[in-house]
Amino acid sequence: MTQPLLQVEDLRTHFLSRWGTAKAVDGVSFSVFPGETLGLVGESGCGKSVTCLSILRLLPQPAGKIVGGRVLWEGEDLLKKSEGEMRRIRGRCISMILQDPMTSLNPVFSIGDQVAEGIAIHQRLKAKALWQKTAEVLGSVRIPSPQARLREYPHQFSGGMRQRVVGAISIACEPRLLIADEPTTSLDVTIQLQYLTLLKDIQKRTGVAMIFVTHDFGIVAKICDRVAVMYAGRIVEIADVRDLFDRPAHPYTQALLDSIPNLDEEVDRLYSIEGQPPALHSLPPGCAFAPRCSHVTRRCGDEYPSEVFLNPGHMARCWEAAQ
Amino acid sequence: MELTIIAPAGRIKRLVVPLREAPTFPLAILLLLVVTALLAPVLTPGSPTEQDLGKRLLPPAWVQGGSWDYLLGTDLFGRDIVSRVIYGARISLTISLTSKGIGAILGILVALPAGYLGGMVDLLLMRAVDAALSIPTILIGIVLAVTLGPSYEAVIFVIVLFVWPRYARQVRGETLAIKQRDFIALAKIAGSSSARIIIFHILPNLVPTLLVLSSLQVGAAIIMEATLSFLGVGIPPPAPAWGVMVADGKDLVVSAWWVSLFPGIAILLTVLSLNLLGDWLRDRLDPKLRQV
Repeated sequence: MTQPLLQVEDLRTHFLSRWGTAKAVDGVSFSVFPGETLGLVGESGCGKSVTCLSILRLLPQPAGKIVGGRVLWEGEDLLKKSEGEMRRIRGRCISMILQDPMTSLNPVFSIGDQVAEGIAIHQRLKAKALWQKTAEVLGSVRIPSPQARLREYPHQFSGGMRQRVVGAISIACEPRLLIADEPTTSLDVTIQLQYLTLLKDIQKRTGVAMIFVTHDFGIVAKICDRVAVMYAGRIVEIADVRDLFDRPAHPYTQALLDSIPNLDEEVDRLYSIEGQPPALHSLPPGCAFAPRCSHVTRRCGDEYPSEVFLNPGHMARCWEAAQ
Repeated sequence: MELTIIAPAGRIKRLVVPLREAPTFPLAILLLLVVTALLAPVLTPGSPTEQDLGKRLLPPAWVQGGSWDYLLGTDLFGRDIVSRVIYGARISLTISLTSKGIGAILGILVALPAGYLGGMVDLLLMRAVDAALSIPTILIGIVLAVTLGPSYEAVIFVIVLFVWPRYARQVRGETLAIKQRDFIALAKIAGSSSARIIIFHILPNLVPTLLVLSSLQVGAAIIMEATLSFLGVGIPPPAPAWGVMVADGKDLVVSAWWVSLFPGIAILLTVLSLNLLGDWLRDRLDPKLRQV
């Protein structure tokens, strides 16, 4: 087996607030291998974005704090790096695409300036070569006539094009891991597919690994190799994408999959999971999903489930799955 | 740090075009003010400081007893009021622009790190701003004038003292809002340092705020200067500052109203124009209105 590119081990990120400590990420472990796409799914507020920001050490300050665990990038712990060392890793080794293309670009600079910025930070290029490279990158995300559009401003671009520019900024320095935090959520459906295809093509060409945050299982099926399902700051199930769709082991995953409307069936009411995710500052001692779970047993409320391996690549944290 | 800002050709044009839509009245007044201040020696019929006691308190030309040699009349020492008002524009503009400039730079220098870095830095710097805001500036001006004697430097110092915390507050607030925006996060993801983000991403986005604030603060600075001069603790007397001139005429309001009226009108028109322009700029540069 190849060495993982990124290894997150028992990552714990807490948010300190007036109401107590919110355990936004509470013992998350996973690996990303070169060239693969790992999907990160779960309801809003289950810690997906915080996990991503923790990897890059870009948590909102001063509230967010990484209190434990390790984030190994090719064997080196990113949590022990200085801020200056982190800056050399951001953009060049690990990069990220944010959710909202309408606010991800600086309104006062031209597209070219913004794409060039990241390149200029990490590579020494003369103005002309820099401009050339910037146009190339912009062309690689399929912006038509990139040379001409370099001088235009964000407001002259549509949402889909802006998100491609954001993509261009993120891949400009050829990172080996790209974290995409719901990059298609704010795009309309036709553009979504286009954008996913683009990301897939970039991955094929450059071999970049991806962590793809989403709550859309359609996207998961299309783009991911493996999937991690998060609930209340923990990964409850992780498996190959086929395995997960065919044999979901955790009741939460099952419930999520059941929530996808099926076009072939007529139903009066769509399925939904009862209740709300628990408040992160007062998690129950046992399984956090227990109050909403249809398979709940006495044990679930008292004791947090340990890892259960259904096969070497398929892990679930559920007492029931062990049966 | 490498600079990678390549100026696009259209940038300057975009700044000039909106000026055409600017309200004409304040713009005309301010233009007139700047032109007269620049061309003061050419435009003035006489010297602003030359006294002629034989021609004391001549009324304006259109009033009985007035003379066309002294369009707006003369003051207690026979000095030509037109010349003094025109030279006064020079003093008002240089004093207010210099002190506002220094105050703005000081305020921005304090506010950017406070707003962006937050935490302890923010706490300490903003408490300093609070302290500065609680200083009674006029009183400081009076104390300075009494102990060191009135001087240009003292006036500038006092106005800077008045202006910088106001800049600091506004700029910090704006910085807090801008730093939450996603493009700042994206810049961090690309590997930008804090200094780089402050200079290249936050500062340019502050320009609209600074423009509005500046036009309003210049008005405030002119009033401040006039107030200090009126109280006799501002610009030292022979110099034709508007505030000094209003003060000169304060005992003569009934008999020789023109002595304080015309410099008063000059102050009024200037500050009014600056405020109108500031209001217009604020509307014009408001990002919510701009996107329409």
